[in-house]
Amino acid sequence: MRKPRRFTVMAVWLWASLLGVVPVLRAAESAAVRVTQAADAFVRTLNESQRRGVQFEFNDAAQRTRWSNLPVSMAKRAGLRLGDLTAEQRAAAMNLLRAALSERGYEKILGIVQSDEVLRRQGNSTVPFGQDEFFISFMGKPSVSAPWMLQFGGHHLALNLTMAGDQGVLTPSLIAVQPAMFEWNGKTVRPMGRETDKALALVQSLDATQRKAAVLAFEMRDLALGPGHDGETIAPEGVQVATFSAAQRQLLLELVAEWSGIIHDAAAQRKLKEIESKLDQTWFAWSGPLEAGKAYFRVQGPTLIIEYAPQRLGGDVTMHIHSMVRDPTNDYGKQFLP
Amino acid sequence: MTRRSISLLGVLAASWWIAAPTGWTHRLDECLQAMRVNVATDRLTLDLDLTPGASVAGQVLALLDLDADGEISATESVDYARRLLRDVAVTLDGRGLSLHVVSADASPLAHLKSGDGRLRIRAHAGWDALGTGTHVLDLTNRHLPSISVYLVNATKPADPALLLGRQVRNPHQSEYRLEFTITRQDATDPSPP
Repeated sequence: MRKPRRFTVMAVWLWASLLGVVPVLRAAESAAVRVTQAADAFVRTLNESQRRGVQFEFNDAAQRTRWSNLPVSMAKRAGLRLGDLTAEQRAAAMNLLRAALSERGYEKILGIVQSDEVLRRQGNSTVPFGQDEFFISFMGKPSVSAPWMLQFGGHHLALNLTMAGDQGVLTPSLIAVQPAMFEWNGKTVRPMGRETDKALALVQSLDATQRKAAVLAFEMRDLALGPGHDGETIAPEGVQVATFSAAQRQLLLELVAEWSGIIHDAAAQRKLKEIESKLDQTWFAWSGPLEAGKAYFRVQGPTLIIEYAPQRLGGDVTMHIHSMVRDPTNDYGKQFLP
Repeated sequence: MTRRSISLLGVLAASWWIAAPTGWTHRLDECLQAMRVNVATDRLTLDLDLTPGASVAGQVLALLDLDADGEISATESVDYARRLLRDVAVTLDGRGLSLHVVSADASPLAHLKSGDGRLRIRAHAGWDALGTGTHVLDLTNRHLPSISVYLVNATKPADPALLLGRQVRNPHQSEYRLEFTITRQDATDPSPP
């Protein structure tokens, strides 16, 4: 009786160890499979011409940087336009996004698409806005192991997700919105509301010395590293996170997670751990009034640059936000390449 | 006024605010001049993106499209860049530098008119190889001050021997100072000191 009992105990111990030691890997592996399956399901809905239209070579440098904050009539996108898809195809495309993003990330992206539809329905411009004017494309063939990129974007949105097996990055990505608050099916939606509020909470938590360092003595009127600035890194400014208390560090991580957490949970957790490990080399800067949505701010560390810039282009500045997230060490997943 | 009518007015006001026509998604009454400063041991590189708002584009286009043919030629872009750079004063350790246009590329006229186009300029200024220690670059941009907003940021040098220090700007960023340090005599030598 002893041997079977010892065997059972060992088997249970081994199983428990695997569950405890590799939960992230298990989640990541499922994400890679899940995303690839969703991509394949989307491709199966397409005709031959559409399959050619959605697919680009992984090394296509022009397509890699074919993204912008501008409307699609001002800055041409390539890939498949949502408005040209059937209902089934469109649903499959959105399912793919849902698989590639976290729940909150998908909700944010959906909100940005909806905000553009609100802009279209307001009917005050001849520029084409709206939920039909978003494009989806692949760079490299969707795979559970080889690097490939999912691109989704249009006006105020450019998601560049590079995935390689259990790894994934979403940098560089442009996350923007106008209007920043609107009604949709009877609910009030603020696609960038959490980051707006969390940033204010963070700057309000600073003591006088920290705030003096953090608040820049000059106006930052726009993104410094927006579209067209790949490969650039600016000198960090503001207050060093090394001076933050544990509570302030937590506030900063929760703020950062609004961008780093857009991608699926396994990749997001990995990225946040990396950011957390480098907090002492991270800076936080603020430019403008200490009011929600009215000031520019930046979080900059060795593997992360986030900028948030309200746009003073006419109208309520809190209703039009541009933001960028970059990783100077791994934009477009360059570390995944052999 | 009754409480009910006040509430109704409040709801109407909120509805209007949330659904208020925006229409303005692009730059209007200002010209954004966003500059990136890159220092090396032997030169300064300035990258300037000039984005005129829709309401002020006419002023800029009058300076850019000199033959008024409705198109921005390569020559016109470079000529405008040269004139713009005459309004930008740069000194290194107190000595004046001369900026030279390397490239100038303009968006199509229609985009410039609508506030979404830009003129992208790259300029260089050279200097003799700098010694170790701290150096000071001062920059003043006086191009179209009445309609412009300015951004200036230093980009990380490619040479690890060049360390960026303080950046000091006036509130409108039309005046900028960058302190940087060269840590090796031959800063192009990649071997450790």
